[in-house]
Amino acid sequence: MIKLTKINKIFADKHQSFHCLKDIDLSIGQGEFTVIAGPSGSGKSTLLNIMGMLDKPTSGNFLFDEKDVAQFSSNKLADIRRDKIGFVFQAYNLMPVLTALENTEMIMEFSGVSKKERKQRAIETLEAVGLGEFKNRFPAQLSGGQQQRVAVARAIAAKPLLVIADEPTANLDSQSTESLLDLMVSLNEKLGITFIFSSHDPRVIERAHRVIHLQDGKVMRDEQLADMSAGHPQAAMSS
Amino acid sequence: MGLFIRLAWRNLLRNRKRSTVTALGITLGIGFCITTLAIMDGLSHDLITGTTAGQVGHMQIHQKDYLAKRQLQQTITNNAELLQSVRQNTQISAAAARIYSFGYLSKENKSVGVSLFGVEPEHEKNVTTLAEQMTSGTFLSNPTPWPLGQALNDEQKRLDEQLTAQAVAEAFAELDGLFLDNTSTQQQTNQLIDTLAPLPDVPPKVILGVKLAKNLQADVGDIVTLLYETSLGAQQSLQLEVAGTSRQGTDLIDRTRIVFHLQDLQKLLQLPDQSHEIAIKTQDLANVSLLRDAVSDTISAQKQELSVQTWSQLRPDILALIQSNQALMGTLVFIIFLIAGVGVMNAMLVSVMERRKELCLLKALGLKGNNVVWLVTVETLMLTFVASIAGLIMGIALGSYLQQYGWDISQFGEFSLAGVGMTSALKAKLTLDNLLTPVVVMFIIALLAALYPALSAARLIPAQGMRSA
Repeated sequence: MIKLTKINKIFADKHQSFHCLKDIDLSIGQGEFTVIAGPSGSGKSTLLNIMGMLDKPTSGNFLFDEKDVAQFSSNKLADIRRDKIGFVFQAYNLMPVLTALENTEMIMEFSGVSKKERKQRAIETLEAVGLGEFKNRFPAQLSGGQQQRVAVARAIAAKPLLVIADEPTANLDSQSTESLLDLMVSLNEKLGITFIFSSHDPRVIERAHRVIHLQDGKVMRDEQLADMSAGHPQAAMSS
Repeated sequence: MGLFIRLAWRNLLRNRKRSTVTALGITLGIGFCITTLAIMDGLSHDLITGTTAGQVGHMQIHQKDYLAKRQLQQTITNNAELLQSVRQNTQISAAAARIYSFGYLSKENKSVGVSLFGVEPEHEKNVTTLAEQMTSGTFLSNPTPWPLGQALNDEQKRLDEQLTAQAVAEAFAELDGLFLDNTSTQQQTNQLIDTLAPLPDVPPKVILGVKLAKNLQADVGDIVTLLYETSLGAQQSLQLEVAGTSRQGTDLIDRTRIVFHLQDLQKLLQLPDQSHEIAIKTQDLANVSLLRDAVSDTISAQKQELSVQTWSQLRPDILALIQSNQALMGTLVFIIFLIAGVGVMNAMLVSVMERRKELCLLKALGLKGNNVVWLVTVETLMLTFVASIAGLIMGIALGSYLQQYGWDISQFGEFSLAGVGMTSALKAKLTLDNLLTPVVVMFIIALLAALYPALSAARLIPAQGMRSA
């Protein structure tokens, strides 16, 4: 579903330039539960931003769902993000003026899902992440773990093909981390949603099917820890 | 759409202090603009009313060159017939003829140069507020009974010729330095004049300007003596009875004016069925120019060289004063709006910068650039909407107060602008235009002010500002 060929990303201004990603070749299939691991500054987030179409590569080819998205306009990219990709960020990034329910509904509202349907789906999703009773709370009234669950609910409520999560557990305690991972794994298994994480948290890496180690903008190692298709968590755990 | 409104509204509430201060700026801007416009309209209205109701009327008819030369003989002849045809026009609510001249008024050892003003009291009342300007006594009503003049018989005509010849001879003799007693010639001449144009048995009643009366120390009921010249050039004197005093509000007029019944002054000046001016009040001042053309057509049948002019043609200084007043107030209003607009722009810029991360997030989640522009615009419109309502309430309250009670300017003493006596309280005039214009202009300015912040928000790249907490 994602195919990157010779992807380079250079950040440059008048005085200096920084070669962040160097000739990345990578394919990620439907239903994978993949972690991109690496130390700070290795290019994890930049790679995720490019895969999530939040940023454009300096050079290279990018096929998403077999379409060459490198040439798409920013409005067309926005449509793809809205309809096919869910995002979970390290800093939760919920809209502080919207309730948990409204945050979860938001993307569906962008894409014009009817009020009745989006509300029902948002409530179901919030219940699925265990926050049914907190649906009318604002983000400031929720704990960090609860906020991140809302972020996951928002990411998956619109039924995306892919969820991109940038260090989702970085700000969470171990209990919240475990329950969030359980949630994502089960979504991957039940719904077949593709997950791509960036993380250097061993608890996350432990649960992944595949770990791509990134260092200095290059893929150092690509480990297959389990069957790449969803629905075989035991295989993943035992291998 | 619902989401945008919810987001916009909650964002405004989120920073209540800033929203309140910005809204206050808009509210004060609109409130003061409405008040300023209402005062401006009130002043214009006072000036127009002061001009038209005080003296000028909505339009006037004169002999063609009268306004340039103002000679006693430049009259409108067959006055009554012309008046009748003018009054037949249903668009005209009243028309009053007037006569002007000059003379000397004296009482005991005081004498003052005066302007004589003859009016038709029953019609003048409907054109101007002259009758309401009385400070003492009563306004004029009926003309003084005036004995009819008789044509000279043959014997008197011979005497007239003889007296003329005698007067010529006496004049030459005087030039030669001889002194002759011409008292009998004068007496006989006066007898002939009395036959032709006799003076009334009772003194005609007149109204004096309040300052004129004060200078002459003349009270209601007092007798004063007028020295004047008839249209034929004869100098005469006549006793008048002071029926009252009036205050027009303009110093020059209050110092020099003496008001007669039109018929009395016609007789006095020997201008039968003539006038210098016909002042007209129309049903609708707004259509005065159209009506002027209609009246021009009516009087063109009169075979006289007459001209019709509207109040603004007669008093271009007043019109210029109103226009400069409007320009000045317009500039003031523009500055108020500019300041409010800069305030809105500043608030929206800060708000957008503060929410950079959120706006990036919305873009990351699939909101397009034009939607972000709309989001920021909706927020500005909402703020402006709420502030406009408050501004309208403030403007209506202030404007209504000033409309009801006025702004007391009596502390500055008697006040006249370009010769128009102003009432002592400057009254505002609230109109729908005055209320809506500031609101509409403020919305346009707020939209323009929001444009830059909105466009800069739309240009944000979603990947930026996503990582930091």
